Amino acid sequence: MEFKINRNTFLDGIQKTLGIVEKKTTMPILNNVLLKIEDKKLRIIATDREISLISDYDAEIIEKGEITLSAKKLYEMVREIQGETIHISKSNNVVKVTCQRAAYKIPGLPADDFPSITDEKDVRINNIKGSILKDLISKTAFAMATDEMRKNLNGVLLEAISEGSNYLLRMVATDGHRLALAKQETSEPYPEMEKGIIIPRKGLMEVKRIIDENESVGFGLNKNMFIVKTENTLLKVSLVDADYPDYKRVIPAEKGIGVILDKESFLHALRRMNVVSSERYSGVILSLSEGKMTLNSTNLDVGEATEEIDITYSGEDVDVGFNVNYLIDSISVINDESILLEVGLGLKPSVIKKAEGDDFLCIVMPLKI
Amino acid sequence: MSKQLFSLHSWPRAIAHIDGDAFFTSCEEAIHPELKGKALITGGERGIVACASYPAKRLGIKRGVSLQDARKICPQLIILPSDYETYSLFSRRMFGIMRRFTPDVEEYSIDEAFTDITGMRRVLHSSYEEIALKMKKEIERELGITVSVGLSITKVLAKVASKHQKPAGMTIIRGRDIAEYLCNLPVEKIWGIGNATANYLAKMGIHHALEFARMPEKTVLQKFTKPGVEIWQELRGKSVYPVTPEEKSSYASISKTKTFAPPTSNADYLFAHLMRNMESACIKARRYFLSPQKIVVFLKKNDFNTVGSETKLSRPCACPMEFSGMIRNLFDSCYRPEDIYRATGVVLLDLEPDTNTQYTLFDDPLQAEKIKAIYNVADELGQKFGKHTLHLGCSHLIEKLGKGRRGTSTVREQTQLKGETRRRHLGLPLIHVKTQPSG
Repeated sequence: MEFKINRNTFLDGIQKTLGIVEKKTTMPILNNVLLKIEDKKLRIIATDREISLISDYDAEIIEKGEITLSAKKLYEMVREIQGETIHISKSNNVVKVTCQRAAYKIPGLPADDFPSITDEKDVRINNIKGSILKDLISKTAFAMATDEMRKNLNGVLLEAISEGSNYLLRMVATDGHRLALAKQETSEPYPEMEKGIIIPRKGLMEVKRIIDENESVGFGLNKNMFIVKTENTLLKVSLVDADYPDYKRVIPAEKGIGVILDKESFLHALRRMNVVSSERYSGVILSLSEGKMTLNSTNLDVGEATEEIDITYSGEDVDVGFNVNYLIDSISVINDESILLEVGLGLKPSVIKKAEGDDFLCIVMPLKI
Repeated sequence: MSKQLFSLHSWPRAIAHIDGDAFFTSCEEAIHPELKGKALITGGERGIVACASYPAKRLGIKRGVSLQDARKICPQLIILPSDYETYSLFSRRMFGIMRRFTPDVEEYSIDEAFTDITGMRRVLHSSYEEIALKMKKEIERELGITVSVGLSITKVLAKVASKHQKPAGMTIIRGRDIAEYLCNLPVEKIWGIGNATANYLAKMGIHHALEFARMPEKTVLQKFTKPGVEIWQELRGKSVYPVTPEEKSSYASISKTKTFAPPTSNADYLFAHLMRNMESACIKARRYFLSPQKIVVFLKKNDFNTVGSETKLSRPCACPMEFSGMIRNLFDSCYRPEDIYRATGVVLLDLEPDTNTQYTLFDDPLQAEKIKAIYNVADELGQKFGKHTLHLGCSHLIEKLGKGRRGTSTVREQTQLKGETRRRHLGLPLIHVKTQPSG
């Protein structure tokens, strides 16, 4: 195996695998990336057996072949190389990386031991604007659980729906304490997604990385794999094989007390409350009374914060407590000037959404203080 | 080497450690004077020795030996069921006597306590040695049990002292005498140094307490974490562990295990027994305003192997009614009908103060609040009419089939004074003096 490749292209290619290769694994070869010379391209493959990334890069091919090398070490080597073109050659599982007058020798493991990763040529691929998926992810990912015990919440639910003659994609995430739901219109239906799929946290982050760099991507489903495809890259993510909880029953049937708030000023007030909160006491109490909302956060270890905001309200006095971070998270992702807070009474959940439009909502369970 | 001076002052602090000698059997001897001086053990209901009297210890009967083996060693051994109620009454009185001398009494366990008597010399018109001796004398005279006293300048050293001479010993380690007492003391005998640390020290060639105490500060800071450094300081006479008279209010975990007899494979009974342990553990958690987020249950088989399982709750909760269904699942995953079990147990972990409750979206908070209210009432009833007066249906079988106590019940339980019931009786130990029939 022997080829020459542009240094920046190669560095970029290896860097993209770093999030996937396993750091702690019982199979040492999963610390490695597979370098494979195909007709006119260098193919780099990384996998942790749940997520796999196949990317092709232009290279000047001298001799065909394949080898696996430590992703981390290879990345560090290439990062420190200064020349423009890197020359790579292999003899007896030892790879020589040379550039100008510098040379590294790095022992590799044979490619035969690497898990076989197919490139799923015959899967039906739908096209979608990257911005649509990106919007859905940024509006929901914060609500994913981080609890290893509950696998089904450790990811997002993605499902295709139709409302009237419109086709939509809906993404839902919840950690049990709050639930975020976002919708985006699409130009075509995606029938295979109607049942809904659960994309795990780590895979979702890789999907996001790809769409951050590409205007338009293709996606598809094969068995229990979610596939994202661009011109040179194929990402496969194993889906979470579990039932997503029935989130629809969590959406409050009756509306709470509606309060319209200016997003930025409310957000800043909450951040001021957050200064006195700690992991143990992260509660903020919102008190509604005629014409104003009072925020109060008290922490026995730190101190107390209070603030008043003018609102349009004329009902009875109401107190409700929340984890202040849950409010901040959900309000931060709203891209509108004003938000609507629907306060649920009697320990019922509250709803946060845009003042106009229903493409996003976040349901937050109150904190009993 | 034993001449090294760790402290120039004799009494920078004065801390006494008082430790009951073979406490449970001593209590039994105190209320059954005819048993004095005999080979005697308690723990009859557990099938293993919980506490052995000194005559029994001399025969080689130690804590944890099975009754079978103990009987082999000494056929005329007197085996008594544990009477924890009486022991805790003695314990309370012992601590009460210590409090006559100083308010700083830390109840470390049922039979031992630390007291800080620094600064009490003038008030009590006595030296520290005399104060400690008076405490010892009064406990022994009033309760009829013996205790070993260690007096020194830190808690760790006081504990070294009380262990130095047992039973009924009184050992004083002044600041300038520290080295003398440490030179022959194996490190694993030091309070706070367990197996792992002792092995670690052995790797550095340190086998005796004095060698440890003489290590240079730099090395100690480098090689040990905070607890190790603190023990090192205490051994050198620098008091870092204060005597804390407050009742313990923070727990890392709460556990309840109970053995029953005869061993059984009856699933309903086992589950009732397990749930009763869960109820007891949760009562304790609620008393300290704590709620566990993680729960472990285990079943102990007759061959002493244990099977267990754990679960995480969606939120911290100390009301077993809410999660009894989950416990049922855990139980089902551990229980095999072909096995015979002798004990069940639970452990509550990840305890959090139950101040703010973050309910989850999939909860029914109103239901949960109702259950909480029920447990408030249950705890009140428990205080008035005895623990478990109001209990879950799934643990009710315990009331019908009994707790499965092994052996005979204690003399105090057999003797009900007028107006007493099994659950409610006066907190008095009964003393049984055999009198010769006249004529």
